[in-house]
Amino acid sequence: MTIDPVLSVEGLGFAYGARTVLSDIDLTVDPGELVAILGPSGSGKSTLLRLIAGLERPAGGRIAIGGTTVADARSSLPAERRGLGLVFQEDALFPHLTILDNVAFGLKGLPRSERRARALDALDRLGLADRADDWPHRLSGGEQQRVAVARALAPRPALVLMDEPFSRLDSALRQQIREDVVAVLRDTGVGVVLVTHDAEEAMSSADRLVLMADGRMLQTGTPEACYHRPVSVEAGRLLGPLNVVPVEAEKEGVVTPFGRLTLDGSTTGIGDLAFRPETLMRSSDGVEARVVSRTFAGAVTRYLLSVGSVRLEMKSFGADPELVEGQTVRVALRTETAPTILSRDQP
Amino acid sequence: MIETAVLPARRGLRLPSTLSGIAGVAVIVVLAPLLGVALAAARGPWAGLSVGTLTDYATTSAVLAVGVGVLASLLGVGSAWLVAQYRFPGRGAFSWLLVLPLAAPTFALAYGYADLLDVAGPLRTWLRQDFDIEVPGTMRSLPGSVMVLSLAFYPYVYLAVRDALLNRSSSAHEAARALGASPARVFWRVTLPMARPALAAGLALTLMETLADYGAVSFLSVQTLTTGVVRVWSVNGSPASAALLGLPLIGTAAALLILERWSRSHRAYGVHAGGWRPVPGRTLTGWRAVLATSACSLLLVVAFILPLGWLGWNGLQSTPEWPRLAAAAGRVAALGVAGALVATALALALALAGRGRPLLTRLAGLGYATPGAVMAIGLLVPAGLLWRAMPGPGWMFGIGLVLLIYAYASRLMAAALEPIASALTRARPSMSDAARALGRTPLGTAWSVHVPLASGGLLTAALIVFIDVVKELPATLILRPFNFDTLAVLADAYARDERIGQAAWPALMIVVVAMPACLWLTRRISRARPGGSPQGDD
Repeated sequence: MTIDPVLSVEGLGFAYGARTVLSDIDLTVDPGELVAILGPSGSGKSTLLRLIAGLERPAGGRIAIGGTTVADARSSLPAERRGLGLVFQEDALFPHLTILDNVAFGLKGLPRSERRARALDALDRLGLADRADDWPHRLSGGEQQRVAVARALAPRPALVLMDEPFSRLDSALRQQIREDVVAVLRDTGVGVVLVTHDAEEAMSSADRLVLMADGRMLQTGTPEACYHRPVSVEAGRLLGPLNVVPVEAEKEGVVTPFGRLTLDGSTTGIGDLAFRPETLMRSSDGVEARVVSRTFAGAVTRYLLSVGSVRLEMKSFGADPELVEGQTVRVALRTETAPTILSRDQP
Repeated sequence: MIETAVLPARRGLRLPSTLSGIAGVAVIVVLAPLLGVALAAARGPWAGLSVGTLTDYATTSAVLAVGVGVLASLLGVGSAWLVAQYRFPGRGAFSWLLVLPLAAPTFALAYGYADLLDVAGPLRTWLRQDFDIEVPGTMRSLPGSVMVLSLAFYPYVYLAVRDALLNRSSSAHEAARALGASPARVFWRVTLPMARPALAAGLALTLMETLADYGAVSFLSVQTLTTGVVRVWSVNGSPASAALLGLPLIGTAAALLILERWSRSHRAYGVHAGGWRPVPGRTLTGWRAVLATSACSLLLVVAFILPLGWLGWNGLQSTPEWPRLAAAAGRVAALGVAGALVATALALALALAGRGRPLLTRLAGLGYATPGAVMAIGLLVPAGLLWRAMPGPGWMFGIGLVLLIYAYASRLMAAALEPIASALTRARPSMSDAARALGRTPLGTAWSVHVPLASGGLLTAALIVFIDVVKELPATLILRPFNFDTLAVLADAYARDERIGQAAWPALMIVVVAMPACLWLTRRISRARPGGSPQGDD
C-alpha cells in the first residue's frame, strides 16, 4: 500500500486579472519530505505557497491535502480549515501577545493547561522555553523566526509552508538558525514546502528541489541532480554559475573545445555543453586557455578564461600563483561529473 | 462532506463578507442623509426662499469663508513658523498651548467677544468715558464673525504647518545651504514650498468648519447658508427649502475634501526614506525673543484667554440653574458615549474592509465635510416616515435619540476612521495570513488580531467623537427630542435671550471637558506621525 502524499498539486494555474502568474504546476510532498521551491523574485513561488495555504483561489487545477481536495477551479476551502502551518519572512508574530500566547494562538478547543503545555513543548523544541513570557519585540530576528516556527508546529500540522523564513536574518546567524530549524522539522516528521530565492539554502535543506521561473516549473529533482544535470540553461543558472559552450553532436560523440566526448543521450545536431565552474581544472593535456581575470574570494578563487572565442568560468580552492591575468594555461574537464548536453531544439 | 465546507470560488473577493457587509452599512449610513437632502430639495415646495435670499446667503458664506481662510492662514502659518523655526522663552509651552482654541466651541468665543466689544460693553464704555474715543463697528457683523471663526479655527492650519515644518528632512535644507542659499532664501525657496500641502490640508479643514458653523455665526446675526438651513427649517418648517440651501454646502464640502486629499497625497514629499533629523531651531535673543514670546502670548490671549475669561467673569455674576445644567450635562455625556461607540464601531469596520479601497474612506470623508445642519435635514425625510408609522408618543423620544446618534455617527465616522486606520498600519498582512492559517475565520482574525492592535487608535477615535458630540449644536437643535437640551443647546437658548452670564456656564463646561482631551489628543496624534515628536528622533 502506498502512503498518500501530504500535498498534491495538479495542473495548478493562477492569474491576477489578465496577467498569468502560475501555469500548469504539478507538485507532491510526501510525509516528512522537505521540498524547496527555488526561483527568482516574480517567479510565482510565493503565490504558489499562498494558493496551497488557501490565501488565494486557483484559476484551475487541483490542490489536495492528505488525499482530500481542498481547492479546484470551482471551490476553495478557506485557509482556517486547511490545518497547515505557515511561516513568513517577517513581522508575522502578534505584537500584542506574549511568546507563549503567540504559540498557543492556533490551539483552540483545548483546556487551558493543555494549551499551555503544548505551546511550551513547541517552544522547548526550538530552544525558547525560557522566553515564553517575553514579548515579540524584545526578541532577536532569529528568535522571532524560531517562535514563528514553534507557532506553526504547535497545532501539529501534517504540512508546514515556509515563505523565505530565513532571508531577513544576518548572514552570520542564518546558516545556524536554518540548520537548527530544519533539524527540528525533520525530527517532527512534518512535510515542508520551503520557498526561497537562495540556492545554497534550497540545496542544503531540501530532499527535493522545484525550480521555477515566470510562473512555470523548470525542473524538479534531488539537489544534486538539479545542480549537475540541469534541463536548461535557465534552470541550471538558478543554482549557480554555469558554463555554456555551443557544441555539435555527431554519431561518434560530441565535438567540444576539450575534444570529442561520448555522452549519454543520442542527440545529434547543434546543442550546448553545460558544466559547473568547479568541474574545470588545470591539466597538461587540456586545451589552451588565456586568463582574462581573477577574483579572490577567500576559500575559492574564480578565474575568467577564454578558450578561443568562448568565455569560461573556473573555480578552484586556494589561489594558483601561475594563474594570473594574461597567462596562458591548459585546462580540461574533470571526469567525475559528466557535463550535460542541452539540445537547442527544446525550449 | 468537503462539499459543504467549500466556499464558492469568487475570484478577486478577498474580504470576509461579514466585515464587508458592516462596512457597506457604514457607507450607507453616511450617504443616506446626503441622498435625503437631494431628494427633499428636489421635491419642493421651497417655502420662505427666493432666488434673492439664496444668493445673499451664498455670498455671505463665500465672503465668510474667504475672510476666515485668509486670516486663519496668517495666524496659523505665522505661529507655526515661530514655533517650528525658532527657540525663544516659552516656545515649548506655546507649541501645545496654541491648539487650545480647538477645545472651545465657536459660540463660546462669540458670546465672550460680543459682550466684551459691545457698544455698551466695558471696553468701549471705558474708551468713550476716559479717552473720548468712539470705536466704530459691531461684533454682530460679517467682520466680527470672520474674527471669531479665524481665532477659533487657526489651530487647524497651525497644527498641519507646524508638523510639516518640524518633520521636514534636514537634508534638503542642508543641501540648499551647501548650494549657497542664505537662511532667508532657504525659508522662502525650500521650507515654505515644502509646507504648502500641509497648509492646504489645514485650510481645507478650516473652511469645512467655517461653512458648517452655526452657533457663533447665528449669534452674531450673520445669515449664511448653514444658518439659513436651520432658520428656514425652524421658521418656515420647510425641509425642502432647508435641503435646497444644503445642496451648495454639500458640493463645496466635496470640493474641499478633494483639496484635502490632493494636498495629503502631495504631503509625501515631506517624507524621505532617510532618518528624520529635526532641523535645529535658531535661538532668538534680545528684542527678537521678546517679540516672538509676545506674539505667541498675544494670540493665546486673544483667541482663548480673553473671550473665555470675560465669559467666565460674566458667568460668575449670574446664578447658574444647576438642575438644568446637570441634566444637560448628563444627556450630552450619554449621547457622547453612545455616539462614540457607534461611530467607532462603524469606523473600525470601514478601516478593516477599506484597506486598499480608498473610495470607501473618501465617501466617509464626505460625511465629515458636510455641515451637521445639512446632515440633520437629510435625516428628516426618513424621520418623517418613522414618526408617521410610530405607534405612540413614547416612541417619539426614542426615535429622536436614535436619529441624533445616527447623525453624529454619519458625520464623525471619518474623524474616527483616521486614528484607527493609522493604528492598523501595525497589522501586517502576514499577521492576518498567519491567524487564518492557525484556524481563525476572517471575523475571528479581526477580533483576535486587529482589534487588540488598534486598541490605542480606537480609544483616540472614541475620544475625538465624544468631544465633537459635546460641542455639536445645529444637528442637535434640529433632531433632538422635544425639550431634550444638551449643554450646547442650553447655551444657545440662554444666549438668544441675551442671558450671557447664564450661557457662560454650559459653554465653559464644554471647554472644561474638551480641554484636557484636546491637549492629550494633539500630543498623541503628533507623536504618532513619523518624526512627530520634536525630540524623539533617532
